Amino acid sequence: MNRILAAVFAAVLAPLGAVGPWLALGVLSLVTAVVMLLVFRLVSNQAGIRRAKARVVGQLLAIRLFKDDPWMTVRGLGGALRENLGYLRHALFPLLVMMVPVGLILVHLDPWFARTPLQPGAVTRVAVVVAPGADRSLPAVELHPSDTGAYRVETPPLRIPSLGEIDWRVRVEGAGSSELRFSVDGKTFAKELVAGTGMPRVNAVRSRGLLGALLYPGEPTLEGAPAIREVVVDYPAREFTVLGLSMPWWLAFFLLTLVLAFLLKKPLRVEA
Amino acid sequence: MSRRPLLLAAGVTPALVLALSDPALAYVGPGAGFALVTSFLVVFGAVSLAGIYLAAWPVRLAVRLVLGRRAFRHARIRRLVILGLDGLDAARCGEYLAAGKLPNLAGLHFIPLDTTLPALSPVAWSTFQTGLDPSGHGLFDFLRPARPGYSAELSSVTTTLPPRTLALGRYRIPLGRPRIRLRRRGTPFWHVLGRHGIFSAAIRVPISFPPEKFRGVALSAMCVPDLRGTQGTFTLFAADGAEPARSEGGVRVPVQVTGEEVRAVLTGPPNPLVAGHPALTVPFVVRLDGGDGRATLALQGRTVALERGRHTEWLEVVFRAGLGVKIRGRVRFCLVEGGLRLKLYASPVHLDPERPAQPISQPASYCVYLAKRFGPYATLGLAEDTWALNERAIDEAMFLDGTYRIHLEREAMFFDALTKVRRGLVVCVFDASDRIQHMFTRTLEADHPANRGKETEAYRGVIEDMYRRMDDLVGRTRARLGPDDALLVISDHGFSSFRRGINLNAWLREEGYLVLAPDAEPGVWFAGVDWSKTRAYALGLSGIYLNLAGREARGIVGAEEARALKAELSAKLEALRDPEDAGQTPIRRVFDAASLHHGPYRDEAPDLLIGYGAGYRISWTGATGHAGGPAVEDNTRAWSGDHCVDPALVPGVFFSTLQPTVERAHLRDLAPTALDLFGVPVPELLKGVPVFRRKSA
Repeated sequence: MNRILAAVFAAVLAPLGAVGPWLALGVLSLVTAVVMLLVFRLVSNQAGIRRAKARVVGQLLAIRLFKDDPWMTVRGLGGALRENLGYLRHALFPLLVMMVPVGLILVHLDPWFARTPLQPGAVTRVAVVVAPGADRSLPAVELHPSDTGAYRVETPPLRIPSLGEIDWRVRVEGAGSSELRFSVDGKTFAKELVAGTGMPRVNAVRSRGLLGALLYPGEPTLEGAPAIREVVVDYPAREFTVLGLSMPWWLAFFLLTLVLAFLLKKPLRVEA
Repeated sequence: MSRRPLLLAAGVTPALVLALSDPALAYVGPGAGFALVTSFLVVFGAVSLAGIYLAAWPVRLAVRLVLGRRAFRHARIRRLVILGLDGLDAARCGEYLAAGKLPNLAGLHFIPLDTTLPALSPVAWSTFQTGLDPSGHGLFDFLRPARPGYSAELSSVTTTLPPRTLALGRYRIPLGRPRIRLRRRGTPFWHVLGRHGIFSAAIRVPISFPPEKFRGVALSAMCVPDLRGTQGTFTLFAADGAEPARSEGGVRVPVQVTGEEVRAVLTGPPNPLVAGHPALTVPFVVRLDGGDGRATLALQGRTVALERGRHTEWLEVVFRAGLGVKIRGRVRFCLVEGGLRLKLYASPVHLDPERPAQPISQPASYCVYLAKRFGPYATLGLAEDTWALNERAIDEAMFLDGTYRIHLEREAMFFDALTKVRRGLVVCVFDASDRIQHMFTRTLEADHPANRGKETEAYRGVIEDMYRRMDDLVGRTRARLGPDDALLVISDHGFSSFRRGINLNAWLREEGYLVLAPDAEPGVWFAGVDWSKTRAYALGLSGIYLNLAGREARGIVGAEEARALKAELSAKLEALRDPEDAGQTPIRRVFDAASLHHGPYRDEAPDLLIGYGAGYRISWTGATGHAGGPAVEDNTRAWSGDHCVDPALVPGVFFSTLQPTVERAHLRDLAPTALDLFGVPVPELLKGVPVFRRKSA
């Protein structure tokens, strides 16, 4: 299912990438806002939310209307906090329901928006992390030179037993997608390396197991080398800037969906 | 950083835990995001608001002390609670008390409470709140002459539309807001209390629209209009083949059942933005469920089940006037008859208390607060739809269903005020007691003319049941009182039967005082009257006006003639006998307003005020300025009880937790009593006396 989703996101995001990250994120935020609002309307107690909100406002108004009596002010404050909990309670079930789809969306958007590809000539760190329980003396992992000249391994492996990690410094030589090829104990495995410009999918981690498949859906899980937990490539983070303030993509996405959903909730008749 | 959303996405950590630590982390979709953002704002807002008010409270207290308005310094009580039970009758209370049917009221001190002349709610409640006689507050009836001219207008409030509009295509945009003015003069005693730093909650005290500013909260009552601008216009959608009709209180709209569906439109307010002010409407659909017991109603995207004889909740209706202007109201429906002969009652469209088109509370947020706390509620001044029962649009059971629903809304407001106002005044008026006696008095008299063709036996116990309910309300109120609280249970007047109606205009015509133009047929609001020969006319429920030269548009009665004419009319009216029963005197006393009233607004009074005899009142036709038909006739409508008689016949009640020092009180004594209990000086203008006098030193 994850692969199907990855394909769907790729089909959608590949052409969107041409319009730039902001616009692409905006379109996705809009679609997410609409879908999530409809889901929220479907799975939430709309009448209950309406009543809960009304009671919260009622308590706030009570603080103002009966301000002559300090005890009423305190009671109004307590009432507002109590009703607020009731309001949050109504959001709990839809929140649980939406965790799965929103989680999947975030997982699949992350490779597209979180990082920029490496520039030709740039230097990065490539790390192989040993699986827990494996031999912490670190196996003899080898990073092979590129057949196509896409990258150059500049350093011998740096073995850090305390972290269970083996690092290399790699220089990117050309644009495009290529494979970092490794071998250990006679078994080989690879990790995608992305360089160039634009907004391609950039997978920073290739991991193993069910969790690896869930969190890093861009590449297949590591199945051939049981001693290795994951392979990590450092990519530059993509920043989204508004009025001079930089923020990570997910925060920009949150804010955009929130604002768009706020604008759309009335036309879509959603009480939230 | 890039792993952060991934961890979130895994959903390993429960969202709620995340919510407590970082809202952004717990963001799982816009809906839940709103919940978190809103909750944060609520907490922030509530704490800030409370902090500000708590911090400011000592400052306000100090200011009050410095200004010498230290509240409660001379008060004998901590809180005064006044429960107004409109129309609760002294004699009937005495009867039920003697029979042990009102145990809670029996535990209070009781004295009769004299009412105003005339004994009408707008007049009486105005006297209650201001402590002034009618000539002091200027209200003598529901209606008053709309001078110059002889038509009638509401006596308590006047609305003036903005004089200028801006033409914009088909739109006429008013330049300004309508001006609504309360005609009642005088000052409610809770305003005086407020000036001395005492907080009050005045809920649904009649004649409080538009609301006035004072230290406290208030919800307006009698004279708050519906969205049409009337005092309540119901609609009966009927598929029984009858013609459309319009009565004083409602409209009958024919509809057709097509398939199993009825499509119709609900009429709302006149469009204020379009020339000619055409009525705004909203469509709705009723789907019949085969039998006659149920149907569903679809209105503006909402579907509600209709159950025969049961009112729906208050449904929101939004009328779109154009240019983005929306007028919101609340309406409820009641399925009177299902099936192919569908009859569907729609209440008058009330102002929406959450977003009222006109101001109905002090401060403006109080009506919103009540709606947020307890849900939408009736806002119309005369909220209980007596007209619908009078016109037989609904039956007695449906009327009671609607009336007691409104009563429960009022109870919720009242008990909330009791909780919120721990020191000061709480006054709330309940109307069900009045409306039910108006509509069910006939059931207490087997030979009442209004019983003809109506179910009587099944409703014989309705009035007693209502008194018991009011007694229960008193019991629940007493349970909430503290040792330093005082409770007064009062009514503005009592009740009498309304068996026969007198058309004063027809009588004046028969006696030659009111003259029709040659070949003219009499009609409503004095149609066909030849004013150049007319010397007197009746307007409202109990007033006769002389056609005075200099005062009326075409007056012919001179000042010298007026006194003699009044004496002549009074003598004739008091001597009048019912043509069907010569032993009955339809009019017990006639009062000359000039000799009775001495207040600054005495000139606005009718020249003669009629004190009808027991069982009589002005007839339905006479009340509309119609001079046709017999002078005295049976009242066959459900509205079979009234109080518009000689005030001596219908005293109200005064129950109290405190021992009165008088044996009988008057409504005008209430304001001085309340002020005196709080130790506030009684203004000299008030002529009433405190009911609980202080013991002399």
